[in-house]
Amino acid sequence: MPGRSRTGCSSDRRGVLWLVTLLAASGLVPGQSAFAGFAEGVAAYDGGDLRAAYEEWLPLAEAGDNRARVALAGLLESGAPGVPRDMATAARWYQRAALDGDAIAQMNLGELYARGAGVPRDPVRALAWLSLAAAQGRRWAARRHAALADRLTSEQRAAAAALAETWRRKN
Amino acid sequence: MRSKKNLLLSTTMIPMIVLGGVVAGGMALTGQTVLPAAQAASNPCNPCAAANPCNPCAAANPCNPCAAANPCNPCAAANPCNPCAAANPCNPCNPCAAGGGASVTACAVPRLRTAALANPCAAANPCNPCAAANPCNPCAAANPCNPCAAANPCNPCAAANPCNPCAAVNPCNPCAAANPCNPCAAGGSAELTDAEALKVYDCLFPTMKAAYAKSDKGDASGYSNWRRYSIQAYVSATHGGRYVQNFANASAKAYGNYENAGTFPAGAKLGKDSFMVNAKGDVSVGPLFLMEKMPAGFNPDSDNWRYTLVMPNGAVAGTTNGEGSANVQFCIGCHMAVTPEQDSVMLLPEEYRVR
Repeated sequence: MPGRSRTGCSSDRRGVLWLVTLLAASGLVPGQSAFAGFAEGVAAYDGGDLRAAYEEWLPLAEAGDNRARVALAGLLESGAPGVPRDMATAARWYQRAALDGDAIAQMNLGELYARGAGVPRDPVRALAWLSLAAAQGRRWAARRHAALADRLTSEQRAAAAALAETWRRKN
Repeated sequence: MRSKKNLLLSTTMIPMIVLGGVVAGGMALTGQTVLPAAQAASNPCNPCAAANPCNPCAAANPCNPCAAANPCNPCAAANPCNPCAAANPCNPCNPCAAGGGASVTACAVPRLRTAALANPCAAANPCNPCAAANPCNPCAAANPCNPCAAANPCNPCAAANPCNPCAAVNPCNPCAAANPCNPCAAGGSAELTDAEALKVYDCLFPTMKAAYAKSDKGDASGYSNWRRYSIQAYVSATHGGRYVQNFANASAKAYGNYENAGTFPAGAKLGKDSFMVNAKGDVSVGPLFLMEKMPAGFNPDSDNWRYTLVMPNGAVAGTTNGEGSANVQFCIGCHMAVTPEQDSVMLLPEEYRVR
């Protein structure tokens, strides 16, 4: 039959396969990793395959999944075999989730600002992020916030409150 | 003979046309142009410097750091360590290679630190492929095969080397454990002596407790007050090859009977804190593994155990029958594999048990 190969695959179908392959190679359609799941990443993490966990979570994080962003940030923050420590990138993932309202990200980002890890040390920003996490019921963040606030001036506390309000409105 | 129209519509030509369009479209979208050589040389961020035989601007390089829109740009001041490098197992110019580490420097293992000085990625290493002036630089176009090869068990040039980590067909080579630069190195810590494991755990314990406390879960803070049933940290193959210690609360005191513990009562709680060590001796906090016996009917599939995985940044990956339950489903599958007499509880090696 004209237009049909010996394998039974029509030339039209072969053309479509070519096209899909090309588009996948060009990045215009997602590759397999884009369909990865958070649970698969957790399973890999539990199994000690941190590189695989990173690769499972990265496309989800890029697609806006805050759980994956926080998990990825935690992986980069700790560093471990297969995933070199990268505090700056960890801070950026926390920030993306924090601005999206994720309380765990806000808490950890606040802590990074307090310690100056991956971001410049900034007690005002630290206080602001911790206050947002505390406002969402995070008790650890509330304790850390209280301890930090004690060491700041009233002007710094006011600046932190203003910053927090700005970020809260953005969310 | 095929007409020109048929030729253009052929399965060979269509993809070529599409590819051409994709390439042209991509160039138009990014608006990138090729800089004149002089202009490029004056650019402080220019990775195309003539002296750099590893020119990352090569069009074929998926990690091209020149692309302004590229989030992997290693020139970015805020990005001291190009994340593209880690993803590329063959990247010979990985600036992260020598700097990868873990969270608690004070607890690093001296023996492994010393061994890591032999790290082929270290800046001070004469075989460092990033060193532009290095005659062993495997990036040199004129040098198809790095003369350092013989001394380098992971030489990417050695086509016949079964441990070659660059081999496309071998995403994770068997040299992994021994190679501190191996990007595939996954699953498990570097091996410590018992004395080293003891010392690292003692050093890391306060950091671990502080990390898990971020979760706001009572047991994540309280586990450290439970009785410890391991005499020291040991490698648990079923927990990612991490170093762990075993804790059990008062309701789970039968755990100390090990194989004869029987069925645990509701309220029994078991916990494992964990850490990892990389080949350079750097240590990092791992997750806290918790299991709690719940009343009958909670979940027959798990023998009524509730599993919780707490990550070191306070995020809870999942809890059986709670938020993210599917994320900890694998815990059930693994724990149910033990003999029924052990009530889904895994036991530690005899030599590490508290008697």
